[in-house]
Amino acid sequence: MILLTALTLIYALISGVGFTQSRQKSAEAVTKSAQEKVASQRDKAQQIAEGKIPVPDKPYQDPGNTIYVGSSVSEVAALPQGPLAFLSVGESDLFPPAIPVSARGKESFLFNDEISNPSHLLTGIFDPAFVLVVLLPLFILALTYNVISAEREQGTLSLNAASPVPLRVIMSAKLLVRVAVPVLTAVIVLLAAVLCINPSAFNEVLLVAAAVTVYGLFWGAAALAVNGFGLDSTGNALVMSVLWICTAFVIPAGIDAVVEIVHPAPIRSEMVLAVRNGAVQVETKHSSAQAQYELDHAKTGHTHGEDTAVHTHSDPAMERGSVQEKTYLRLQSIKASQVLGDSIYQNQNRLLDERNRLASILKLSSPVLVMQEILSEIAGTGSLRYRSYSDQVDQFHDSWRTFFITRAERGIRLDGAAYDSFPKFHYYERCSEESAKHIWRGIIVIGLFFLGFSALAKGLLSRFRVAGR
Amino acid sequence: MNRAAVIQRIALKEMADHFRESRHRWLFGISIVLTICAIMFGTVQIKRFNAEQTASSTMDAQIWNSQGAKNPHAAAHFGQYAFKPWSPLTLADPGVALYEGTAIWMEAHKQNPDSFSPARDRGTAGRNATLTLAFVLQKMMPLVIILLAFSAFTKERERGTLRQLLSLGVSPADLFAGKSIAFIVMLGLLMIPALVGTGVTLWIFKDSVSFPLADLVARTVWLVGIYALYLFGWLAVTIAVSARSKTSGTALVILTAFWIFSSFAAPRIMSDLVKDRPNLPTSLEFNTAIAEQKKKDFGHSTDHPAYAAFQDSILKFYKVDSVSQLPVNMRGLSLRRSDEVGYTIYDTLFGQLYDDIYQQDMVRASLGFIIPSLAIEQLSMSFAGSDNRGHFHFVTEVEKHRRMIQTLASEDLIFNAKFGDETYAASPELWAKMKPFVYHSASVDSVAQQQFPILLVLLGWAVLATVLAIRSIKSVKPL
Repeated sequence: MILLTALTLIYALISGVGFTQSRQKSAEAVTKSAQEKVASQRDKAQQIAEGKIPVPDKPYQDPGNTIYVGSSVSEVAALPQGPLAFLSVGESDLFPPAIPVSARGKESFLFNDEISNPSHLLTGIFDPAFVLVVLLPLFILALTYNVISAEREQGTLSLNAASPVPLRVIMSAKLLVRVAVPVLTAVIVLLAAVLCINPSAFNEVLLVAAAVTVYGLFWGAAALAVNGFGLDSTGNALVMSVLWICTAFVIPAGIDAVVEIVHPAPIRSEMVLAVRNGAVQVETKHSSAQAQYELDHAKTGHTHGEDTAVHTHSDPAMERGSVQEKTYLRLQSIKASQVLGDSIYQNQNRLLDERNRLASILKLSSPVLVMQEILSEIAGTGSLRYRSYSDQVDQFHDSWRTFFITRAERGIRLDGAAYDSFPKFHYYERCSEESAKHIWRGIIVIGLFFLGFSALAKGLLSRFRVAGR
Repeated sequence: MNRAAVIQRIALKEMADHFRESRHRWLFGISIVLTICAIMFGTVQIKRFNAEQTASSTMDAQIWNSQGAKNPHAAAHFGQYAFKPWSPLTLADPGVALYEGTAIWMEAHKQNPDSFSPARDRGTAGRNATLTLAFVLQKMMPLVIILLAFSAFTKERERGTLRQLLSLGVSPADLFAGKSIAFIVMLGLLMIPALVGTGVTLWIFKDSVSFPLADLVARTVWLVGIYALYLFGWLAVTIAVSARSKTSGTALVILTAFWIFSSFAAPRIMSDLVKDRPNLPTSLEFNTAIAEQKKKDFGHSTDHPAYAAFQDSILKFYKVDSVSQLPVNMRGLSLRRSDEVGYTIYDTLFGQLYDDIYQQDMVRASLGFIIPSLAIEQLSMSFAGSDNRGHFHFVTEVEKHRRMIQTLASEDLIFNAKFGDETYAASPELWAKMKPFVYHSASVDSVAQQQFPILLVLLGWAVLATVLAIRSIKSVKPL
């Protein structure tokens, strides 16, 4: 069992490290590509500003056109990996490793995915969290399912019962040793791995070790309680298999179903449709204003050509199909997306919060889910950190968009200096405290499960009939 | 007493034993409750999801049609959205539906990837397991079989009744046949709620435009067939292990360990092993490859040799000297040409990407003859229409629709816009010609053809398990 635990965990560690490394590389490549694009545009914009090259005809080719640049170049908002990211993939495989944020609506970048085989997302990754959360209990159960029943079947239980030490003490001691084998193996492998991969995360891994120990004790106590019912070894194995599958799969599936029924996930396309509708409204409004303007000027005999020089961005008199008109429409469309899309986004986040709150409460019914959450939070791949990152990307998007909109509204063209002052994304660890609370709450909950099962085992063993049923 | 009567007696006794045991009654009860919950939850999910998708599609069509007069190419850039409906058989197996995008933006020049995958908002509980028929049939039913049948022979051996039966002239083969029939009947009874539930769901969605009822029925028949093979294999293996094991405990431990490995560990390990066979590109690599190829193959001005050659060919065709003399609009022609060049690139690169994904899936499922969950997962989602290949079919259909929009938009420019007229605007009647996307699913025959190798793999599992069972029965010993 020592070998099995060590080998599965080592394989999982290799898999976890491979996954985090490939994400890291991918994030770096996205960042580099975006930076190169900005640098290339910057050089051209500076040359235009210095009069070395002409302004391109098309607004989308013009590196000085503020609103087009704002919506075509981007600043990459990457979520830095935590020191123990390899421990739990958590939700990270569902999100791209880095998000290129532009001045377009949030729908243009928030829902993009990294390429991956969805079948692999469905099965999940063989990461250390899978071994610790799902397989470790099985290793423990394999060693403990017959801790008492085997003694009875072999006829040695009566001898133990005849000793002056209470039966439950003897059995608890035996059980502790059996639980310690896989748990200690896992902890030692983890400590060694962290010392090799990232020694600075030693404190975090101690927290993992504490969580794994409590979790192991819980499963040991469950095994003792099941043994306490006095079934034969086969019956114990059967009950424990059912207990494991219920805790690891049936309860989570039930929780998912309840949450989905009570608080369905928001309809993400709603935001896109609102923004598209907004864009059409902008065009319609502009066309009406323009048609009215043309009608009025036809009466007075003016034509477009005579007075385009005095037009402003919001002036309906601008030439149809001109750079000025296209720029104006792009700006208005982005502003509309800001008004319409953002409110929907906030509303959807509120729905998600409600959903997560319910899920968070229901999850407490399954030590497996609690343990999973603990590991994800320690690894920095849990929902809290993603939510914090998502909020920071949202705030950054606002500042990026404001930067370009305010300049575009004032008709300011971009030069090299303006490029240098583009907002930069910095991720701040804002949820550490909340995350720590979740981790400790999780450990306490598993501890309570342990105490509950221990009390049950104690009660059952005190009434245990050594002669069997 | 003839053989048939002996087998019948054994089967009836076995069933009576199981129904008498409270542990097994609980097992039946829990299985049935889980199945019913999975059907109810699945039906509610599909109904809600499809209603949302239909509403979104209707709204997008309204937005599209509400565009006023504008340049058709600008409208093509604005594009439409294609919303993916879920097949009613997602009830049987949602497969990767939660991990695929649910909508695709069809815009000019660009085949966009799908977006809005529901899994992102589902949270961690749903990643462990979702309450679906596939979960019940793929994961729970093998456990039910194990718990029912692990002691089929060991119990007789432990009680000493195996020796009695053999001494009475009952052959091990009769014993095997009788017990198998009993288990098959019990499993059949357990399957009734699943079949009835699926039938009711198909009836609810019988008018679906995207998923014809006849095709759904044919897919259901396939699903019944593959699950029968899968579960029969489990039954045969369970009986084989029971026949070979000395004690019930040993049989249970071996079978449970195999079940856990096959159902939970192996799929993850195999996903991990095949992820580089072949390696998938990152989004950045994929998009860069497209952009570079497009840049190489065509341009938007005479600076690009391909554009210049195209313009020359047009001038020659119309026997004129300059673009201004053309009876058609050169910009419209070049946009159409640019799109056509793009189509080849997208077909190649998207085709390659989905072929690579398909290959990974096939490699992953190829060990299904010894790890059955790998084969059943693939086949089940394929026939339910919720696998990667099914999604690729959706992506391909959407792309056809996008191309229709692009062609109509470019042709309007070609034949109606005058040279140098930057203000040309098509009337809203043109938008009405570009109908919203309606999905028509792939036929069951094409699915069966694609999945043929994996069907053989699953058949291999059932055959291997049967051979193992027969060999074990032949060598069964009373002690």
